[in-house]
Amino acid sequence: MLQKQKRAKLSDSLFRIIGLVLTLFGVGVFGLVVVDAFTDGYPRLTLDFLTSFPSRNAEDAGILSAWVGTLWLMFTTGIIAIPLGIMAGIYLEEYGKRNWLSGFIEVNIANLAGIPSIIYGLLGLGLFVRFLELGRSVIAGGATLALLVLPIIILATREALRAVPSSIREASYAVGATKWQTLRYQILPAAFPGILTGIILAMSRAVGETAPLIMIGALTYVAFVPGGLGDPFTALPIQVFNWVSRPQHDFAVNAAAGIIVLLIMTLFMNALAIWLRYKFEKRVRW
Amino acid sequence: MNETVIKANSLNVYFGKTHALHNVNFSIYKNKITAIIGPSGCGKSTFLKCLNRMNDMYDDFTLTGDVKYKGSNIYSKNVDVIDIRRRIGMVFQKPNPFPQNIFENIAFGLRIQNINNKETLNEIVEKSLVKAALWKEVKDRLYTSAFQLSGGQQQRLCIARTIAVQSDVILFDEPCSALDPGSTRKIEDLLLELKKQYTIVIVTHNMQQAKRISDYTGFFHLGDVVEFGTTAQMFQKPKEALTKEYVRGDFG
Repeated sequence: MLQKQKRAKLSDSLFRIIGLVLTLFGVGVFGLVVVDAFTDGYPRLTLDFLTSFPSRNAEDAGILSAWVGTLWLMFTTGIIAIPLGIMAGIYLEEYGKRNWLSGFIEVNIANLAGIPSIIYGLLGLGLFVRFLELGRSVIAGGATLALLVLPIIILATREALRAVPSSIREASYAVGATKWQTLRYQILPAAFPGILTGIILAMSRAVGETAPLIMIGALTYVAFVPGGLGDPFTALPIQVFNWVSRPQHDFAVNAAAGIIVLLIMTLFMNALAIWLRYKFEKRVRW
Repeated sequence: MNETVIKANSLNVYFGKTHALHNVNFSIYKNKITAIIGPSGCGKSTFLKCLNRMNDMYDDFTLTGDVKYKGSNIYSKNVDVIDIRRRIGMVFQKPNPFPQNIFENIAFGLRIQNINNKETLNEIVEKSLVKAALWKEVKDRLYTSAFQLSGGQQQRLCIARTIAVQSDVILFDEPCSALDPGSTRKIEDLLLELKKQYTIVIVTHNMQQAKRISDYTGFFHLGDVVEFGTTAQMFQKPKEALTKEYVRGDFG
């Protein structure tokens, strides 16, 4: 008996140590990447770098068209994916009948979230660039990324709606609210932080996507800032990819600096998600 | 003679293939407290939720027979469910205030009817809180979160919320099971006060509670109404052997 307890205690502490080591490994690798990018790219991280167009000379080259292009892309992706995703999520969770069709749709959405992003690029190329004749434009890129992150937003919306206790729903019905009023005034406000977090995570996924954009033929050398949805564009990850594939060492430095900017953007978005979640959850407690 | 407010006739309820209530006939009398007792899973909450169509929320719910409220069947096709739920209010087992301030908790039921006039709202909120015996405790903090109230206060807030939309019947689904004896006492006193103006149905696990406050008692067992009568008769000389065993505390 005592033997058994001792062994249980031992495996308990053993598991804790293994868990700690593995966690530290993950964090460590990430830290290493950040440190590496910073030591390589820091010298190039100047205001000029942010305000210059790409150039044949590594020292003159900047990421102006890239980060503006990325902002354009995020904007288009957002206005397409956010309303579509939230509405689909609400429909599936609140209105859709539970039958074989909804089960089929559910499995497919979960699967879509796991499809390699390059497949979405292929879809975007066929659908938006060729069939709808949008060309290699901001809107084609944004729409492709929107398809990519749509499942994430749908799943996050459903999860957030499901997390609202049914007692709130009952209370609302019991005072004579309709389904829509219940949803609009009670369920959605309570689910809002969760939905918001899902949106931001989806957007930070989109911000780093490279493969689908290359697939639809986003340009790698753009010496202008897109002025509208129909204009060609480049984006930060594409610019970085382009520089990394150059043989000259100076471009590798540029790539590192570009990675830093991209990292900062992503971390900022994630921090925003955490902060918003914290802010709204303080208001909603069960 | 007692006036009947709600009458269930040959009510059968199914959830999918489960037959939850068997041919229930039951009357609820005006300005009385009717207690519904019975062991867990006997269908008492299901029955209560039939009275204001809260079971409609469940996909696999089906019902035969009818429930008449003031003479008209609440399950007939042209009935406005919203209106039924407004007139036949409900207070739940676990206090479930909305995640908003005290004022808005009560105003919600009015706002969804497009009553947004500040003065009207103020007036109704105050009146409802007074009736629910909560006004004195919260009048200085109407705009703080309802979650800061104690469990008993939250439950009285839920009662005020129901009163505010002009219900005349209030259904209580084990309203005191999550409360301490002191808060329970306050709710019971409140129910006795409320029955002067409202008709009250209360599902309870607590036999003493049924005995203390109710005028009529119905005993449910495995989806059947075993016996219905005045509370005095039910507890002193029940007709059925099963009722006798249950009120004596032999099972349940």
